[in-house]
Order: sequence, then C-alpha cells, then structure tokens
Amino acid sequence: MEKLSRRSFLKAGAAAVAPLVLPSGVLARPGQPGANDKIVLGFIGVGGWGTGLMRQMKEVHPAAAICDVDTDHLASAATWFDEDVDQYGDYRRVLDRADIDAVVIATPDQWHAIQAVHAMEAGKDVYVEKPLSRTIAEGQAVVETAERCGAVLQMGTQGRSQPDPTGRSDVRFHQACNFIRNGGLGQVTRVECWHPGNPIGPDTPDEPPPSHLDWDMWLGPARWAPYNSARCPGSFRFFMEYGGGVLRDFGAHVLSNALWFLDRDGDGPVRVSATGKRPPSGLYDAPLELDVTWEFEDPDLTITWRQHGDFPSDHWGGAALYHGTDRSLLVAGSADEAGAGVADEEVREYEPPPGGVNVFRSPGHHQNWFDCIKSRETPVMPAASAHRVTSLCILGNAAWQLGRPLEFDPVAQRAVGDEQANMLLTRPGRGPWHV
Amino acid sequence: MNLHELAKCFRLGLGLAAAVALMAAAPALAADVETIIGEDVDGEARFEAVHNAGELGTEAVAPLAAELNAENTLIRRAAREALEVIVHHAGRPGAEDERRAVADALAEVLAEDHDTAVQREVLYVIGYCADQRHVDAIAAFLNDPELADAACFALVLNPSRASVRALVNAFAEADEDTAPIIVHALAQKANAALDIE
Repeated sequence: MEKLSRRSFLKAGAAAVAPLVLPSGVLARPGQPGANDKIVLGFIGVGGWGTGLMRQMKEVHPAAAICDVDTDHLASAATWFDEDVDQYGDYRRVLDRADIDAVVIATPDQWHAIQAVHAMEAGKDVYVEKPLSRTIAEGQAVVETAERCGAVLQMGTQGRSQPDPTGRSDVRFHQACNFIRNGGLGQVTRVECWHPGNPIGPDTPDEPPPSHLDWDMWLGPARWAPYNSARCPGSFRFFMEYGGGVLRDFGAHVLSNALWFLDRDGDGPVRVSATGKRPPSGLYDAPLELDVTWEFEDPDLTITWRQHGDFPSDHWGGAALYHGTDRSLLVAGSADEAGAGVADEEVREYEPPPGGVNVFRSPGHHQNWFDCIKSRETPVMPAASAHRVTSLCILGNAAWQLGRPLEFDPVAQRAVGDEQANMLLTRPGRGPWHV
Repeated sequence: MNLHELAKCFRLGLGLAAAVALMAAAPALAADVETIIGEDVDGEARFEAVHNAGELGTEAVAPLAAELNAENTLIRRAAREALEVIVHHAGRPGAEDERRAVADALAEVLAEDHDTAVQREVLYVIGYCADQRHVDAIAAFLNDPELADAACFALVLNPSRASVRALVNAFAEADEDTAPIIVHALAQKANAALDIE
C-alpha cells in the first residue's frame, strides 16, 4: 500500500468529509464587530448553567439565537426573552448565521472542543465552559484553530477575573496572583488542592429517551450508550465519558488559579500519578475518592489533588494551599462556612511594589471577553492556557483509569513510552463528531 | 505467578508444575470473577474486585463480557469497568504478550454470537489493545449500522496498515447508513497515518 503523506491524506479526507459534516456557512469568515458595535450572541446549550450565562450576557449584548438538543431547555430559556428568539436543536444552524458574531458554549463537556472548533472555523468568537476538551488531541485542535482563525476564545474559569465587580468581589484572586508572582511566598514548590469527592449515583434502568431530547445529539462524540435518566442533564459530570468527575469540573477552577498564580500557563507536568476508589453502587463511574500528583520540572513544582474527606483545612468546599520556601497561603475556591477566596489580610490588600509584577486586572470574565472581541487582544483565559489547565485534568483521570503513573512530555504533549496512554489521550470521537 | 504467566508456562511446555499451579489458581479466579458479577455481592467488595481485576487477565474476559448486557445495571457497570481494568493493565509498557493475549480473548468474544450490547462494549475495549492480527475480527462489524461506530472507534486506534485497508474495503461495500461513519473514521485515521508502517 502506498504511504500517504499527511498533507494529501488530510486534503482527501477533508474533501470527502466536509459535505457530510459542515453546513455551508461554517467555513465562511464574517467580519468582526467594530469597537462601537454590539456583539450579536448565540447561546449553544441552555440548560441550567447555560441559561444563567445567557441571562447575564444578553443584558449587555443582544442574543439572536438559542440552541439546545432538549426542547424543554429551549422553551424554558425562551421565557427570559421579551420577544421571540430564534431556537435551534442543531448548533450548526447557529454557526450558519452570518449575523451572529460570537457564541457561548455551555453544553455537556464532551461537546466543548468540537463545537468551539466548528464555531471558530465559522468565524465566531467563543466563550466555552470548562473543561475545554475530552482529550489532549482535541485541546490541541482548539488551540491550533484559535490561532489559525484569529478567534478570541475565553474559557469559563472565572477565577482569573476575580474580584469581579459584577460577581463576588470578596474573592481576591488577583491580589493573590500578584502577591505570589512578586515572591510573597518565596519559591513555590508545592500546591495542595482538594475538593469533596464525586457522589454515588442512582441505579435507574435504561429506558427510551424522552421525546423532548435528541439523545444521539446529546451523546455527540461520546461512546453510544442507551438513555438513562442518571446520565443527564446535570449528572453527566459524574460519568468518565462525559464530564470526567469533579477533577474536570471544580478542579479546572483550582488548577486554573494554580497555573495563573505561578505563571506556568505554557507548561505541563513530566510525571502524573493517581489512585482512586470506584463508587460501590449506582451508575456514576467517576471515582468517589481520587488522589493525583502532577510533577513539573524547571523549576520543580508538585501539584496534588485530594478528593476525599481528609482535607488540610476547614475549607471543605474546595481550596488550594500554596507552599513556598518562605511561607504558605490558603486560597479557597468556593464559599463555605470557612469563607471564600483569600482570608490573609496582607494578601487581600496587597499592592505590587513599583516595578513589580502587576498582572492584568480583568474587568469581569464576560466583560473581558467582550472587550477582547472588540480589541482583538488576548483574554485572561485564552485557548492555550485553557488547554494546559484541561490537560492536567485529563492526565489525572487517565493515570487513574490506566492504573499506572504516566511519564509525559509537556512539549510534544504525549505520554512517553506508553502507547496505550496515548490512545486514551487521543481517542476518537463517534461518527462525525471529531476535530 | 499470575494466570497469564501460568498460561505462558503451558505454551512453553513447562508442564506439570504449571498445571498444578493453575488448578490451584482457577478457583481463586472464579471467586474473583464471581465477586465482580455475582448477584448478591456487597458493593464495596464488588468494586474492590474490579479495582484489582487487572491480574485476572485473559481467563476472565469471556465471563465478564457475557455480563455486559446484564439486567442488573450495576453488574453491567462492574463487568465493563473490570474489562477496562484488564485491558489497561495488559497494555502497560513491557507487557506485549499480555496485551496480545487479552486482545485475542476479546476477539474470540467478537467471533461468538452475542447481542449488540455485548459486542459494542467489547469493540470499545478491544480498541485499546488490538493490533494488526485483530483487524478482521473488528472489521466484521463495519457494515452493521448499530455497531459500525464502535468498530470504527477500535480501528481508528489500531496502529496498523491493515486497519486502514479494512476501512477502505468496508467503505466500498457500505450502504448509506454505514458509509458516512466509515468516512469519518478514515478522516480521524489521518492523524495517525504517519505512524503507520
């Protein structure tokens, strides 16, 4: 068999596949809105969280369309509009709309990367919920597409915009970032992150999907499985095939802060290990307990994730403890009875010294995205950073699923000497749903 | 000595000692598999056994696969996860013989008359351990509309020229239901094309 070159294979493959996958408008590239224009938005995924994003953003910029594979979600979201809003079940119809400048993607996690890539190729800017992708390969495709299309992509780890004047202004992550980057802790060598475990799911029987849900489109790139009410809508998080558990959910927030605080957005671990405990009942398969260790080099850094009851502080809701050569700092990630954000008064009121590092202060996560759409500058959580954060989550889960530590090349972004691990990190999508 | 090593001893003709050891080990294997797929098993014990299923190896593949369509959804989940653990354990670096043996055992299941739910899950897991020798067993499902997705998943992961050839050949025979699925598998195969010798 004649060996195909990569270029000819891709060209032939794309020609064969495009008519089957992409609507005609997807490859078009409409103009970007000017500095004084309104940004016309489309909302893809309007379940609970997606509707929340929609309600906030449409107060600032007009929403031209909403999309969901569940007509109940569409009907519910539409009630937030005074006038009729265009409704779609297939996100590609939203991408076909030349009048839509940008889309907000809040679908189940298995969809994020594919919809983000298709949206950017259709000329849209993208706000996508975390995690960015199912696999390392998908994440790389999102980064490549954002660069190739010049798209502005912001991932929804809003901690990088805290304190947010439109949100919880008591969460002083910006001050903590400046404090750490200016050496307030000395050299940070270890970060301990923790969060409660995944729950035990119900043991419900499979059944035909409800008439209001397009089950095949809900699954998208995921392995085919029979409909079960335990799988969706919100509970998808607790299945490895869709959400990947709390490591990929809240962990993405905590790890986003860690890479941001330590200025290691372009970096990745060289070694990843994980142990965990499977749920003893119910249909959820994400580990009840999970301990992950990521080891970085140059300079050395160890980040750990602990997902069980033995936490190093009272912050049961999720937090991180930064250990430097001079001192440590607790940064809580969510509100609980022990408070939220940064309790340390010195850090809460920290101002960088003259000539010191003063990281960009976002005006709010959504506003920063809107601003960057107009200015074409890079937002606080762009594709490349989002990919590195998501990669940590993917690698942690993969080390647990494989039952062995992974040696990882953060430049090539491949497991070293472990081809089965690379299969897991690049596994294909189902049918047409791949990038 | 694990079961696979014992089986290897048989193949190498190392004889009576291995036979005695295997006979001693078999009841333990049966007990472990029963803990995973038994009806009245404590959940903690069931999933502890799943966690440790890697060492069960090829002998456990067929009985676990048979439960992939169990009425009891928890048994179904345990069987699927145990097979994944076995495949991932066998796929560790330096365990080529184990990987091949587990893939052989899964391919044998594919060759048997099982229902769609069983074959689908076996196709998904064999993808992570199959090689050129298992392509035909997987490709047999490429023109089944219900299983073509899973067969494509396995062949996209398969690191052989034979997997590309199987997809191309199946496309020539495909109907309107399976042709688009196979085309997309070929498109996904593009990224791996440079690694295929």
